[in-house]
Amino acid sequence: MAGLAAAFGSGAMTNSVAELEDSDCIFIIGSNTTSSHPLVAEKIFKAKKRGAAIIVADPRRTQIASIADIHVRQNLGTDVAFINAMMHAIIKNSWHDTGFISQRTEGFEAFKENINAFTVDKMADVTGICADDIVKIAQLYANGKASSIVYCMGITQHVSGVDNVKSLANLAMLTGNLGRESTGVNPLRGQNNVQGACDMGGLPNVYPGYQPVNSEDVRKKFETAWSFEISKDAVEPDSSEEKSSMGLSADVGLTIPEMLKGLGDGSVKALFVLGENPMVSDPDTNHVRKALQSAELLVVQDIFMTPTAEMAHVVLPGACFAEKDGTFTNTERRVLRVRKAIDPPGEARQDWQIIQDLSSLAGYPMNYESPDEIMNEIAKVTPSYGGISYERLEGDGLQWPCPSLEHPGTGFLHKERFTRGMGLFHVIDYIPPDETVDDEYSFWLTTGRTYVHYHTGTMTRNSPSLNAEMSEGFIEINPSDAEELNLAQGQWVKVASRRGEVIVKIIITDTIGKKVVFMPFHFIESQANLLTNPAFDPTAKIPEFKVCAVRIEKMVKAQH
Amino acid sequence: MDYRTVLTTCPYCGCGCGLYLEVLDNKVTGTIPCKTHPMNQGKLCVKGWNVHEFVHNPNRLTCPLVRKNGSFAEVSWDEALDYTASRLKAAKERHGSRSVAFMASAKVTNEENYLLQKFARAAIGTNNIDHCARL
Amino acid sequence: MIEHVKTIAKQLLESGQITGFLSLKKEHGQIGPHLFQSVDQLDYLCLGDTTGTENRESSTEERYSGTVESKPEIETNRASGKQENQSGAGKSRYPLNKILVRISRNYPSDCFGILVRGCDERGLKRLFALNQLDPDKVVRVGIACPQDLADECECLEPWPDKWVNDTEKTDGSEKEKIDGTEKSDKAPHEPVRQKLPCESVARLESLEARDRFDWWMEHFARCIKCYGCRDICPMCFCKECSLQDDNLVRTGEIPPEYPVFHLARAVHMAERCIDCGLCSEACPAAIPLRTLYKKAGDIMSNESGVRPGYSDLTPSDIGNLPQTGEY
Repeated sequence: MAGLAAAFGSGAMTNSVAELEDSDCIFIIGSNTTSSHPLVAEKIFKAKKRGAAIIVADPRRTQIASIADIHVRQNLGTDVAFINAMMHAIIKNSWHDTGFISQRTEGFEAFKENINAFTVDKMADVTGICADDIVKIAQLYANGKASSIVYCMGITQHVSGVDNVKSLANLAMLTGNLGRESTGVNPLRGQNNVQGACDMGGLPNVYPGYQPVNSEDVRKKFETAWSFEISKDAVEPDSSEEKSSMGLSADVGLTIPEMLKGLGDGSVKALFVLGENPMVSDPDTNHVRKALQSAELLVVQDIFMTPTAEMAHVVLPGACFAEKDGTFTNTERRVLRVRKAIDPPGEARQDWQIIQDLSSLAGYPMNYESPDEIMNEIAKVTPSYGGISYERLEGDGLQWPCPSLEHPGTGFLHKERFTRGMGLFHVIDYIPPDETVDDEYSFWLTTGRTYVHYHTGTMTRNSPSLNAEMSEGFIEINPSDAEELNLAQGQWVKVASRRGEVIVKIIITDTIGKKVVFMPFHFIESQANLLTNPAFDPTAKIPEFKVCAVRIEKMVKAQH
Repeated sequence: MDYRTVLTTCPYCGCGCGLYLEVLDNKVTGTIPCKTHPMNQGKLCVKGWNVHEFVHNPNRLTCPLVRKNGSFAEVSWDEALDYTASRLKAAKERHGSRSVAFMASAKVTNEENYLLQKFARAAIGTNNIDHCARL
Repeated sequence: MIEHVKTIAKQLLESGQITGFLSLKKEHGQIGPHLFQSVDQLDYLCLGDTTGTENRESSTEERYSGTVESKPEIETNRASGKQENQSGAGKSRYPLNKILVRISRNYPSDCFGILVRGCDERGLKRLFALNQLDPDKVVRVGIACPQDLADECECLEPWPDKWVNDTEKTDGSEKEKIDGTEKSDKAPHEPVRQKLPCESVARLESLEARDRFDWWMEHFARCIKCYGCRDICPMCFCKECSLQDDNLVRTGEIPPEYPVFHLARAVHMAERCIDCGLCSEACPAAIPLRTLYKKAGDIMSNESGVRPGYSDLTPSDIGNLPQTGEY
């Protein structure tokens, strides 16, 4: 997100999912689309049927790779080298869109000079992709009338994640594949409401609508908007005192990795966790456990007793999606209604009511009647949601930006101008992964999802049909590596990294390349994140889940 | 008898598919993809088709819990909320607003995320709020 | 037509003959299945046409660019298959029979009304025969599909035994047909396919066996194993499903082992499939499942003279079947 925001001024998916159907070329990099975003894959299938060229770059031969016109396996963490080489070929062959570059972008000259060094032949060695394929992919992408880029966590979960994204932004600008239908740079959001959580200011540096916390104007705006709520509803005897002492903080807050660090060094004392499960989702679980153990107060609000909740001082039972009214914002910025079907079980309560009560008890009264009323306040303070109301969300929902009640919503961004004005080319150099293989840890480990389970498995592993489909973790290994280690299908192995070790069954498959192994991260009992590297991108603070070095040992005795 | 279908949005990936939850006598019994929804037009993945299954799982949390002498004790909402609010306030007063941190969620609704960040910023006075967009 | 359906549903509900009327409802701008349990809800009843509120269609178009003045050439209906307004049977179909089976299992002594098209009625007949529903507890209100939909489906009989007549096109006779109790003596429009195999099947038959096999394998390779073909199927009710039998199909991988996954289902469908086509519509990978099951049905009917759901069809009616069961 930080990468796209720097290049275009907005970090969101530029185009709509349905537009993919009409693309001439879809370049998919770091997305296991049929597993993680099946209904996006559906549109890609339709595009292929229409004759679009499908290009997949992925170290694994995923299902979408197997139906692609070209599939290449880049070495782990070499995406910048690959994309820069593509752009080298594009410029060399004059396949770039000079009109778009001169009218809509800035920073091209410096960018171009930097690209000179990334010759296709040199980068073929770095990336492990043959030079002909790099050129062919560059040509297909550049020469499509409308070419789309689709990417996911395979791009962002690297120490160079922001660089990777900026490189894709460069590629799209270079070829003029922006601001039109069926083009764009399209990050697929991994979770149902990642987009919404960002939009709503669930981030340490921005209020709702990406309004920076360190801007005085913005802060004043929110102080007015929110203290108005207080004066209107002032009922608590001490609320006037609270109000007078209230001034919103101008300091950018902590990101999750920084919170965990703060817990460790004692600067953070209390942590409130709403519906997250860092014990399974975050890298280097042993480090996370230590951090959470040092919290003086750990509050977890969730629907199941997650491994994180088990460590809490207080557990507050919330409502699941079927038990609440509200909205989710999907990957294409579409705000969609969630509707209550039944009551929460037992004493469990609506999450918004729990937060509201806590806030009132803590001295800042909240008195909302319904989620509908909360959305009306969101619309008031969030320009891109300005025209959104529950009434208008009937039907197909609305795609932000939707600044006014008359505005129909926005299918694709950056039409005549970029959100930031001119699109900005970035000079990006190739930085290798934080950790590399050596004699002791000789395999590259990459992690991801499966088609059955979702994230930390809290919901899917509690679903009988899904659990029957896949009930345990595994590690994928190439047949030649398995032979070398004398491993048989289904055998148990110990996988160790510099941070921890897990015991897991192997699946021998040629969908994974040599000296690379893959593990899904859904399974607490064979937990990939005990192994992963918490080194993170300096800007986006995204950990490098997709690359670390591991050792694989045959188990003498069977497990379980 | 009471049978209803409730149009809602799938809680798994970022696609945001439209689906009907079937509700028979206040139990969610099935999932039917919405034919006219712009995202999925009557289609779902295996996760979406089974989205109703975890709702009534007996492992669901149904009562507030507070750790007492090392293990969880079921408590009333009043007790759980008082305990939480007073401990959060105490941390703020003793160690400053920056000693309190919040994890928002990519799983809950916009409205809930909005309220949580408002709680963090207006009530506790900290911008220490983040969620797992990065994961 | 829709007003007549509402009138019949109202009569059935008011008379206490049925506990509820299972049909379609337009609410929140989308169409979905609904059990009408009281008369005052009937305003929301619809027959599957997908036009939403009046202003929605134009705004969808404008929404694409975010600016009102420019309207790129986008079909407004691409995203959701929206179509012309009509008061007749539209394209948004749901497995109402399947829902009825689920409700009836919990309320076996209650009687329910249900909206049926030709395919739905074939399904009901099979479900009666397979003891999944009690014919005495089901009141059918039939509607006929429009010609274009029937053509698209290559449906052998796109109308039920009795259907609510389209009053706009009849004069005087509407009263006697309004309750749908009389068997209609005339088809609502020209029969769609009197010749078997259907075009979609015949086209494939014309390929060399090897090419045909490759053609299917290419389709199967896209399968994301959502089980949607089974989960939407009004005829799938087995407690244990062979598709989930580890001995038959390995679990935990996509695409699932093919062709075994798809053929296992096709074999089952040979005696089950009533050719409603909901499976094809639910398939995210656009696998032409309906064509596969049509072929399975052809083989079945060729071998045994029976085609599921067509109780009136005798072997001699089926006519021009392929002479071999090979596929």
